[in-house]
Amino acid sequence: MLSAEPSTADDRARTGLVLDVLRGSLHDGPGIRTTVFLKGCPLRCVWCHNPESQAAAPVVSYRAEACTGCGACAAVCPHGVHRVAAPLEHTLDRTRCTGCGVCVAACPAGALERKGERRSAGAVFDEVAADRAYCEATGGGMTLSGGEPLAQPDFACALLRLARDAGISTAVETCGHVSWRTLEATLGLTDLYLYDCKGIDAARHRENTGADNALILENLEQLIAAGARVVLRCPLVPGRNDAEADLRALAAFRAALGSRVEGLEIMPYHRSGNAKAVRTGIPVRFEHADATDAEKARWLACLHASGAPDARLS
Amino acid sequence: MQREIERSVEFTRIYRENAGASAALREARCLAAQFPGVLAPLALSDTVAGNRRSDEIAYIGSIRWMGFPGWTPERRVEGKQGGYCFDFAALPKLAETATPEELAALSELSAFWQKESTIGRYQAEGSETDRVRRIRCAAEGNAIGFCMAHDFDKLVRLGLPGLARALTDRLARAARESDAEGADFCRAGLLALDAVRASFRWYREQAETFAREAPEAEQRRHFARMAADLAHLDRAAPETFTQGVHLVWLYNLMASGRHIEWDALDVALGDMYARSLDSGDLTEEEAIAFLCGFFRQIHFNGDDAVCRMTVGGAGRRNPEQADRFALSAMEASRRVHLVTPQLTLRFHAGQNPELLRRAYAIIGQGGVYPMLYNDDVILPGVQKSLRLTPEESVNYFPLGCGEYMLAHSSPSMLNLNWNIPRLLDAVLHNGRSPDGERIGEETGPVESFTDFETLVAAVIVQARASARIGARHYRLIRELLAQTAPFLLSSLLTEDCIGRARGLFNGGLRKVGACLMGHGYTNLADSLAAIRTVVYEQGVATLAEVRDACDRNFEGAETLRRRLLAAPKFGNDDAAADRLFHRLWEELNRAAADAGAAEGFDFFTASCVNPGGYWMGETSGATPDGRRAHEPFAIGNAPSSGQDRRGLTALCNTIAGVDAACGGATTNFKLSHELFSGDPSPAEMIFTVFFRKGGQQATISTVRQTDLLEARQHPEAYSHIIVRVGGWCARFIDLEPTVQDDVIRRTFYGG
Repeated sequence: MLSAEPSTADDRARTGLVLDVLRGSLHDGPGIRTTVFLKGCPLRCVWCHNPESQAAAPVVSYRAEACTGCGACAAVCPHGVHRVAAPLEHTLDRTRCTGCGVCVAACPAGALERKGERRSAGAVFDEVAADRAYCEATGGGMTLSGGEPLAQPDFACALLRLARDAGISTAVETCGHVSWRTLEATLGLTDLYLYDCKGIDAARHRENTGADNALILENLEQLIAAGARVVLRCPLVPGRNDAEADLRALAAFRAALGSRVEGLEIMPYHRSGNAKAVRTGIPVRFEHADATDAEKARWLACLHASGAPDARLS
Repeated sequence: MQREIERSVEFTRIYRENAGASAALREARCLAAQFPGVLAPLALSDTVAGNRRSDEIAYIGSIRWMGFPGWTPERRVEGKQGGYCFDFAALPKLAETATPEELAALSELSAFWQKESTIGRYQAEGSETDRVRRIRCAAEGNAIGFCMAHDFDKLVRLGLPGLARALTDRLARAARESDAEGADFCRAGLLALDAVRASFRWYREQAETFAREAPEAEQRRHFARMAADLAHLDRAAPETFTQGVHLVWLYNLMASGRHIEWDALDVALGDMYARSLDSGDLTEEEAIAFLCGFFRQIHFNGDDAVCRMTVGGAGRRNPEQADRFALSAMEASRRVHLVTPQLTLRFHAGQNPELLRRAYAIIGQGGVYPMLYNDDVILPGVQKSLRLTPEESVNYFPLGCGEYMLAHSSPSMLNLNWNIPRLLDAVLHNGRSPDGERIGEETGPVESFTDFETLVAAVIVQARASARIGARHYRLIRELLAQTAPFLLSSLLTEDCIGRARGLFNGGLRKVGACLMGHGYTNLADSLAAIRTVVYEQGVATLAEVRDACDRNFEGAETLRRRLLAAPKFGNDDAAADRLFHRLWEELNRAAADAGAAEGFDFFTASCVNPGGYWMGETSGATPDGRRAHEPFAIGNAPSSGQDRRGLTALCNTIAGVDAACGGATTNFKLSHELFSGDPSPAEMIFTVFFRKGGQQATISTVRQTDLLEARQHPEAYSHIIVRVGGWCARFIDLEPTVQDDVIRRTFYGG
């Protein structure tokens, strides 16, 4: 089932909220890739390392360590978000914030940044296309990520169509918690899915991510049935989804899929997301030390022994 | 009396004794006086015959780092001398332990050479060189040394006796043609060669002694062979590999100061290398070990910033043999792992791909060299910038700092630095520096630049004016050197000195060219780009306000500084910023070319120097790209530190767009080890594309743990490092300090 419609001027003009465009990435699929990070995600994983990507709307990131307490932001903010009571006493009332970004331009110290900019698919794709030769030489291409790239399905498909027409290979990193129709629309446009699998046990999945995994697992089945190329990407988080039982279930799940998925990559927990949560006013819901080498070794050993010999660190 | 003082007294006596002789004869007699005196005795640890002493006070040579009192008002730095050199800076130290007799001698020497040294003449009050050097402008310098890339292929083919025969034949012809100057040059050349042969004999005697008396059998064998090799060289051209190395080493050591350059050693030594290995005379391991010793001696005798060695490239007469040498040279460089010799691999589409592949593998393991030069882009480029035929262009010699010189044909003059951002300073202050000193043309008050184009035009006016001063300065330096000496040892291995029977600067050089060493192109381009955005497009500040903010080092103008910083910057594959850079690159080089043509040079280019941006930035004020006073300029052909934010591929695109027809430039790339894993590695694939897109050159180093540690202290210099964190990538400097700690610990697990 190939999506044969060519890209159109509408595709280039379509806009979306973009978090970042990272060129020269080695870890978002094969070869050298440009990864486009889109804003917004249907899940709320407690361990999220990009919490600023969760909300659909732009969010202001404030770095206290750079703030000089000059008050320029408070002076220009139309909504009374910033209060600078005294130097070094700068508070933000985020309930008032619309993400307009006026404070960002006014800050002389670079302490404020807006996460999530509206951009056209054409402009974003031009950035991707600039590295075309490197992608070709290395078997790379464009990867959509985020947040959840399919939370902005029209924008994502516009980008995928532009890439497909230019002969640039595509990959989509998705949590899978979207409607099947959304996912289906990407089928003819996506060469590889990097598909998140955050746990098999439904109850624990809900505790960890805010949603159960029925839709996610169903979508995976359908994707595979449609002949899509899939690699499973599994964040492993100490104490949340890395118990022996969890790992065995994951390995069994992978084993059952057999050669219909191309591999299983582990993404060990890292707590760098918490600093970003603090900067963007998002409550930190989970604190733990980074996964140690011993823990990773244990995970791999268990997975290998339980039916997933191709499990590897991402 | 201390040995070196005594030697310098005698040297000075010889110089004075020959005051009435021709410059050539005087040099020859001084060479005979200083060799082997300035050479260090053979040591048991020596692989090759020859080292220099480091305590010469008075000597004749092409270049030497030596102090001169009052050389520059502000910098406590040694100057580059050439010609008759005197180490004034050494005197205070020597005086501490000198006897009254020695003090008197030093005093007299100092007084004499203040006037007679070549730099003394250069700075002589009332002289034209002194007048021109004092002109304050963007192109300034106070040095007069130079270096040559000698023709070693000629040296090993002829050998010392062959060179002598060539001179004898040329002398006979000069006599027939009643060419007195030519005959004088040839006679002097023969005397210079005698001094060389005397030094070879000096080392041979010491080698014979070690062959008898060295404590270990292996040492005795080594020196017996050395003695035999040196004996052979006295009567014939070299035939074996070790003979070839001994010849080029000691000759170059004597002919160069601390800038010991090695062009196309793979061509010169390749045949002998192959023969020695194929005949079983040496095993490959023995040859590599010999090269390692040779390289260590280069490092020991040369200055860290110089001593380049090129292998590979188009136009070699014996690529198969040369390649064998080149591969071993890369291996030796990898093993010794020292800052010099600075090994460069030139490559082109038709070359054995093994060389480049090996280079990437070495670099990926953390090797310092080789630097990579893309002949397919550079050759057409230097044909334009140096005005060469395709046949001539294959002899370009990259100096590693950005300058291309022409091996065996034209010297690197190394004398003038071009402070590119200063051109904008001059425009913004109507021909003056922020301190009010006249530094350029009066291009008008800032209010007169009602649009961006008139501003750029004014910058180009400043460039052309300072380039003209620079060209004139170079011509005067050359004329001074022409009066000083023929620089016999260099002349013998440079075209077309023997053919014309003239010294380097006396008409012997086939091509007379020079290169303005430019620093801070990126800062100028980014400054203009920032002004275009902030002043002419956004209209949030006037040009006067930008100027004043820079003059105050942005005090009270932090908002404006951030706006300037936020404007498009070179290095991000951004068309607006990159096009402006390219345009300036072209205009500045045209300014140099035209200025050189007016002074009768064969070529005059500007290079984009690496690493001069550090010290020039240190002594420069704030610039409108947002850079604060005393911060470094961009180093070489590179973005300003911290301003490349789009990753390696974007940077590669920007750099590859710089036109090689305009001049030479180098770019430093720091990559993670991870980019080198796999075969072929991502790094190799990225750079293959980079070079295909027009990249001239790449100096690649892999990131080490220490780099990440430094990145904690100086993030602005490490914005391009992207690291693996958990299951994703991030820019290292964007990470929280605690995260960076983790990455440092984790990323280099196992080393």
